[in-house]
Amino acid sequence: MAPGSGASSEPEFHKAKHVRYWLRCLKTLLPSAYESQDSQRMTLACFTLSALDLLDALHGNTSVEERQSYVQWIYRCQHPQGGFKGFTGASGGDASSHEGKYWDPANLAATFFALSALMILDDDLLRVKKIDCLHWVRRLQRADGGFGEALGKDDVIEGGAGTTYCAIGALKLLQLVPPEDRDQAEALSLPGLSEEASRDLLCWLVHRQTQYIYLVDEEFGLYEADLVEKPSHHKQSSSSGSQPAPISTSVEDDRRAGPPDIVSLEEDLRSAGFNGRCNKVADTCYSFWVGGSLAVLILPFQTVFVFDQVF
Amino acid sequence: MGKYSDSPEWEDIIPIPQDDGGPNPLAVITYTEDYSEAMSYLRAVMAKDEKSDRVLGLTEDIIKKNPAHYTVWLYRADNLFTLGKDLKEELEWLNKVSFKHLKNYQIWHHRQTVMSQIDALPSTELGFLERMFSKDAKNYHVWSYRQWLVRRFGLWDDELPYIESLLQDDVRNNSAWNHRWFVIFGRHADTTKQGSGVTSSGAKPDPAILDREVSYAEEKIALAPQNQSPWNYLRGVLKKRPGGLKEVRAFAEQFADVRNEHHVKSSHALDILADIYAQEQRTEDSGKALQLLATKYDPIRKNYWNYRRGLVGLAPVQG
Repeated sequence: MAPGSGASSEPEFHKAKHVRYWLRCLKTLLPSAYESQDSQRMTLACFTLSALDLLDALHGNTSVEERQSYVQWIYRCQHPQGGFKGFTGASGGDASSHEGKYWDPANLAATFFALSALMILDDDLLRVKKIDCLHWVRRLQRADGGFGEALGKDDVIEGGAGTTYCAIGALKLLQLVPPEDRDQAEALSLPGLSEEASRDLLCWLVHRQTQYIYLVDEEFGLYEADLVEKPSHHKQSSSSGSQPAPISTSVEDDRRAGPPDIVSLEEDLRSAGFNGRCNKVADTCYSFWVGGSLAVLILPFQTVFVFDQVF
Repeated sequence: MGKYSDSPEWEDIIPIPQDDGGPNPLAVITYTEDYSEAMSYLRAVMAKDEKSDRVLGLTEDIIKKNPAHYTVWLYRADNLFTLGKDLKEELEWLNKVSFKHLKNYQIWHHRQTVMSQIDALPSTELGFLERMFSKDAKNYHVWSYRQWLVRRFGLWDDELPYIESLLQDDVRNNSAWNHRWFVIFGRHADTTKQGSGVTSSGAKPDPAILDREVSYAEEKIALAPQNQSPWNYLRGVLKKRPGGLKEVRAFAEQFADVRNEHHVKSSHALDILADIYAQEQRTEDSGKALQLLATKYDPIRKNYWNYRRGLVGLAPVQG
């Protein structure tokens, strides 16, 4: 809010300050506090480029040479066997033995963000090892349908958290990469998963979403191909597993069981938004995950929430 | 100079500096000297895939500075297994690291990797998890790990008393509700494919258990009618019973009377009643429940409730 403006005035978006902040992230060193993010540098890079791109301030504030050198760095992180690494810090360079290379693998999240960043930078994508990357992503799929983040020694799939979003995103972006070799590319049916693997993936997503409660039953037809387009009978089945934050108004509540979660209507409206799980506080990032997922799935819910005005 | 460059133990190692290539790398971090040096030694020992006690010390050092470093954990696990280290000791060390970095997930993946090599559940494990949950009863990584642990050691029948104690502390703990669902119904739908396939849906839950779970959810709803978790749970259980939603019509009506809009104690009761009335062809009552939600009891989702009215053939409410 601008200095001196009254409490009733609309919040102001300080575009110039945002641009300055992101340019600082792009062109100077990040503070030491980012050390713990070292292995996610590709993610930070993509956020930085993407933010400037959204602000329409990337091309105007960087030279062609600078953008080429950013592209160069991203390709430097491409793994020789396909996919991208999250950072350069695990690379032993020429000193690496065959076994030593296990400790510098490609990473799924980094691959998704690297492909996104290359596209933001208008790269022609001709240096992307498309086929290798595709094979590698496929090998990251676990028996349960979800995706791990990296291949370890003996091709063990590593990574515990859900990087499946990044797998789907990477497969989708790989469709936009020009074929290295037309015959070879045609032999592989993009988006890259067999029918069975897609089914397992869908199954995994469904299991993840609403904590097993709604969709995992015979009645709903778990293997129906149009599953994700039909959750309209259950408002809880938004694609990321998130739900709108519990919003209440004058509903009475018995306070015996815990701290009160019922506040006045005005307070509620100020805190409206999305949370990641039922009974947790709203968090801005879920407006992105939920809104984005809904937009991807093109559900009728696109217009059923009014969260954007109040958060 | 530095911790490693000054140490005789490391004098045979030539550190490998980080090489970002060209002139404008992205997301460059101002590394502290300690971190930068330790990483240079890590790159050198990783490059030759050394397995040694000093490597374990170095990985510990890096993990303290950057627990999100994804390959240092893998390298450490490989060292532990190759050197035949006491894995219980590793778990004890991990306990301390876990308390420091509550939101880190690499720790939990590592714990799972280590625990995979242990044949019987260590007697201290559940107590440790309990202490983790006392810090954050909804920690997603810890709950995911606990689900894995239940499968790994077949703890299906031992979890309910603990879940009950968590719900006594906080009846709104959705993670505890979720775990209850997992141990009662998840065993019949093992998603790991470790056993028999994507889902082993052949086994149906015992009707007596379904009845018990309906009563349990109702009991908890009565304590706090606006608590969404047990309503969700109740809907889930009812989908598995032949009677369906309408079995709880009378129960839900205690918390919401569509004929008397001042007598509403729970928006979730209105929600479920809207579905029940629609199933019973009582379109007007269903529409009234949705109208109350749209206008008075949950107006933030007015558009959603109007969408639901559309599903039963009614016009949206205005205002």
